Amino acid sequence: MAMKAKEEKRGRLSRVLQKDFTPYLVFSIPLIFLVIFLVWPLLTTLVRAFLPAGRTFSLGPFSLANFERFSTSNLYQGSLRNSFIISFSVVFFTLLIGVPMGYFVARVKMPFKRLILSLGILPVIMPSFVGAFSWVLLLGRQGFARSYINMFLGMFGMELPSIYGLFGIIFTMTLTYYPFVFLLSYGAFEAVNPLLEEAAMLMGAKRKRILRTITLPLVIPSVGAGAILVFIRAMGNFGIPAMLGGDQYVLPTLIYFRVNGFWDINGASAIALVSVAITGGALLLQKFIISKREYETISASRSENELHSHPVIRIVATVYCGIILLVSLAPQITMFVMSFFTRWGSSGPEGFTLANYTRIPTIASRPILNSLFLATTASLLCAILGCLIAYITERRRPKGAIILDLAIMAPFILPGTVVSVALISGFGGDSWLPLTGTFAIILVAYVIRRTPYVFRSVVASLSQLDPTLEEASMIAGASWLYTFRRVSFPLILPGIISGTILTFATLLQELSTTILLYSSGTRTLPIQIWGAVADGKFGEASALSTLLVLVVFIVVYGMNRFLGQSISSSFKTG
Amino acid sequence: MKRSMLTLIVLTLVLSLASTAVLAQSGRVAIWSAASEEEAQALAEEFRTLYPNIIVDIIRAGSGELITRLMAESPRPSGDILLGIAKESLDAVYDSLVPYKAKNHDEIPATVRDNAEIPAYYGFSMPLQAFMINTDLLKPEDYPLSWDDLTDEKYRGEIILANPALSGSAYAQLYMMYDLYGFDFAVDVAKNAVFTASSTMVPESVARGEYAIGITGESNIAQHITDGSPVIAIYPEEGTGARFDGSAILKGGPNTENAKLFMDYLTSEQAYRTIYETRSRRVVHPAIPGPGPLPGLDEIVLREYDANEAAEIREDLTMRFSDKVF
Repeated sequence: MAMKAKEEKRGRLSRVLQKDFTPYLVFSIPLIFLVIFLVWPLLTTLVRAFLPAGRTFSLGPFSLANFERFSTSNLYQGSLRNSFIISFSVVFFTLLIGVPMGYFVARVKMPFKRLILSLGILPVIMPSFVGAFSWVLLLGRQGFARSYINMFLGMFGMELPSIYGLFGIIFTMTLTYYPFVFLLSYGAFEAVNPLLEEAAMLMGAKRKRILRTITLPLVIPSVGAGAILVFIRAMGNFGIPAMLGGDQYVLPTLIYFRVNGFWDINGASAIALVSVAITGGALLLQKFIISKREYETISASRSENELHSHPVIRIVATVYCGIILLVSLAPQITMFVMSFFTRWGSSGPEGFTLANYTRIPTIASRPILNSLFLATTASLLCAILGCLIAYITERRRPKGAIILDLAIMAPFILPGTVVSVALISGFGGDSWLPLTGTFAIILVAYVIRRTPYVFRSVVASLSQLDPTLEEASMIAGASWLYTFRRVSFPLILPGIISGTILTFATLLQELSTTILLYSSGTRTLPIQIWGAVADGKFGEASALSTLLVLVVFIVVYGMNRFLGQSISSSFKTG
Repeated sequence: MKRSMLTLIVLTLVLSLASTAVLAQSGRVAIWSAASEEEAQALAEEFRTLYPNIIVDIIRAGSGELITRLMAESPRPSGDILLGIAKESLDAVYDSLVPYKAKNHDEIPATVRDNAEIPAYYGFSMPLQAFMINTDLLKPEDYPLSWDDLTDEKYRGEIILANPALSGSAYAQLYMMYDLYGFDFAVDVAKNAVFTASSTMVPESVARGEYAIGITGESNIAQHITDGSPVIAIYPEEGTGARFDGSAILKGGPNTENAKLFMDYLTSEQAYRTIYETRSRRVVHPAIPGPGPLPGLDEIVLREYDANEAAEIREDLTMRFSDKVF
């Protein structure tokens, strides 16, 4: 009897010991990081939004004064209205441009596909203040291209609207952000199970009908994911409206104006909260539209899609992609030209020189190294963190996974200034963990603001991956770590890499967070570019930007070759 | 014996004094600069020739960002010196500055420093605001000569201004108009104008001929005249505000002692000459003339600029203006 009890006890102990604790150990690392570095900025922002202007951080008494401005001030209402108009128009136009382009590149036999895919990401990576300035050079009142376009439009009795204002902002943002839609819909058109289309064709359906009733519905999740990324970016962009929309405020410029004009962090937090709420709404709307139907895009057995090879569609597709690329890369081309001149006068660039490049080693070698170090390290950290958290929310499905999901997405939506201020006040010289002036604080800011790229990407990969594979491995006796390493990880690797590359590319141009966090030892390349622009040295700024774009292009092109497919693979917000 | 004892004591004293002096002359000093890259670099280099053992770190950002940094990092900011920040902004963070009587205190006119007994800041330059005119786009008889001229309908859509909510100098322009003719006048000028959020865009646009008229700091105009752009500076007949921007030592910074040495240097004629030569700024030192192609102070009508009132009503005025115009 006593022996039995003892045996039972031993059995229980060994069961506890046998239980695999590795996952808990591995999962606790990202969770600790999140609690320390993510929850703090979010909570302070939330609390501050309800504190009246000028009050230091405290828990009450709370008021709605910061939000009342939205009902009393024309400026606030105008900003809100503009942000709405701009975000929705930009989503609409990027879909209009990006989806056909994705279709053509995925489904039509055409040359230079890999090049098109690599060039396609470049518009996103240009620092937006440099991009907007290039558009002014091209389409401003003395713009280089403006007179030609007006000559053409004049034949129809039309004229190009001013680049300053809503038209210019929407136009510039559309050409900056369409790559999200293009790359994601390309990935989806590639991934659609061709058997479904073939079946329809065998039953006698025409091409148009197949496209409308089978292909398009199947790519909607990816297109939706692209649309939501565009929406978030358009909602949060500061550089373009700052440069082009002087009298048209949007929420990010309003936030900037509250923080840097009046040190009103509380007011800025309230505005940030409003923009988070709007984005949250858009996210829900997108989920609602997508989740109404069941989708199958990826199956175990794959057959190649048949490419269109009719000459007419090949010409149309090639010309279409060429024109879109040419127009959207016009700022990069302008910048490249400008980098060989000292100034841009009323009739174009003046004073040919190579000095902008020869100066780079002396003025910018440290910032370049810093930027590469910061972007690489932060991207790797994002990859690890995003991957683990995605695994937790997708596979373990703990209670409150939605909250975790939203908490990860929030810093992505919050303006950089607000995140930096929260970090400085949380980890300043007097706190228990003084980080001001270190690489660490910049890394933390980068990681919490960019992890969503990897996170989204891995969530999408996992949701397309049948858990039975992992279950089979576990049943066969493999440990959790072994299963993760040998089964799950290789299958979601493309998702991790695509998210990491986007992270890397966008981090190399990060300005709004860095400018409040950098110290003399941690100055980055975008800071250097910003300084050159502020000093009116556009040649130097252009040379540095060209270098930046070149670095990203080499990395992306190399990855495309290495992976043999696009970096877009998946971003579904499903 | 006694004598040698005395020598020893004196020697020790001298040595220890010397060593503290040496101590104070090494280490670092962190400059938060709203002035241009070249100016900050030139000043740092010259300071280095005076104190070779002090490493000068430069953080470059807009004055808005620097103040944001200061507020967020206080009470222990990571910087020691604020360089080239508008007087009204310095007044707004007055409690975060260390009052210090610089070695060259008496050389700096009282009008261009903090008027406390021991000043918290000294003037850096006088960013006088002037009209920048593109001479290709306007005939001489059409040049606006006064603030009042700017409301003329013929200039509709030809004037570019920076957004007063986002730029310190643009706010100063708004305050001058308000101070001169009242709020409605400023709104009337705004009707003729296009606004940009980036103050650099104003001189750039006028120089390229995007707009015929801009209001901007005179040194920007001087820069473009020197570069050969078809532009001139016109100082309004009613007067332009006699503002200045200044430099200050930050309270709680890591190297306050070195910051004082830097402040002594910054207020020397040598430093003002360096600033003057680097980017055609009108510096506050009386021995140095107006910058290159611009007129001397005796040819410009100056108006008193009440920086205190300007700072006080800033939020109210910009909000009212923004609500009305944007």
